[in-house]
Amino acid sequence: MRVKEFIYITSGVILGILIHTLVDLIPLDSPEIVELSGILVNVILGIIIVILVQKKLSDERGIKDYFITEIGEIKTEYNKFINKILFNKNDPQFILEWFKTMSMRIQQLEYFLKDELKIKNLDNQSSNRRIHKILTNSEEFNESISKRKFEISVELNNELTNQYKDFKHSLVRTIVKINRA
Amino acid sequence: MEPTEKASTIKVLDFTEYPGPRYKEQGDHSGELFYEKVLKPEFDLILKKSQDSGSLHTLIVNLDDTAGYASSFLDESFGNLAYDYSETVVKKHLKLITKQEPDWNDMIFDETLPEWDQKKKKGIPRKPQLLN
Repeated sequence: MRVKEFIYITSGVILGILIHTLVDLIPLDSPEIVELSGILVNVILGIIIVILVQKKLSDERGIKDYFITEIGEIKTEYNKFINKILFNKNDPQFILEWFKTMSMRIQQLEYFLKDELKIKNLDNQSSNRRIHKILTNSEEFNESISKRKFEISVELNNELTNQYKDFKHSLVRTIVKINRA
Repeated sequence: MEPTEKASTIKVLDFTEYPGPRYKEQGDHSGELFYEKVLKPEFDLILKKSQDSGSLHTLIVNLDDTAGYASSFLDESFGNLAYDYSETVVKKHLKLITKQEPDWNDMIFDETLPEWDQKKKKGIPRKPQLLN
């Protein structure tokens, strides 16, 4: 049991005892005592439930906001990376290292989305991997590794742009799923 | 009684920290070179041990801790295994450690091995003729 929950429950019990004591001290008839006690207990229980529910909703919103921010950051970094590739400004070795870091980051995100929010059928990593494969499986990329300069062809550029569009869609779909979870 | 399984582990990191392109002609530490120098000899050894002992021996390849892979490196390395030994034999004797990027495991077992097995069955050369 968490500390705050313990405090709420203990407060409820103490208030209950207090009410019971007060009721004993005030000279009322039995039916009035029962009625008054019932009202007070209901009010106290209502307050405790509202506090607990609010806390749970607030915790969930905090977690959701964290994941949404992380997705926003992934989108920003991906955008910078793709622009560099399209303008032929990336070293092939850097591209490989960047993909490894990004893949691990997306996999970790998906793991926690499944674990914490029970979201299924996420396709961010599979979409990221398709981009990785389009680039690093191409002959022009493989030829460029030893030259340490990667210049993308128009054909590969188009393929990459299309796949990148799908990746961005997958991120938006994930944000929608997070908000609905 | 079931034969006991024994395993040998190799790390790509012991071959290189920076896995390279697909073919040897394209640069250092290629997938093709990794296959010829490391993967094929180790796999041959595993098959021989299995044959000699009558028990199942497995080759475990650890893909973690390198700087990152071109998918062509993995395709060429593990695809050649399926081309030479068949998808069935490779799946029986090969395991991968891919804690950092677990989806490589799915790509290799679900895509690379079947594709290269089919390539062999259809009589397609393992390497484009121009590069041979």
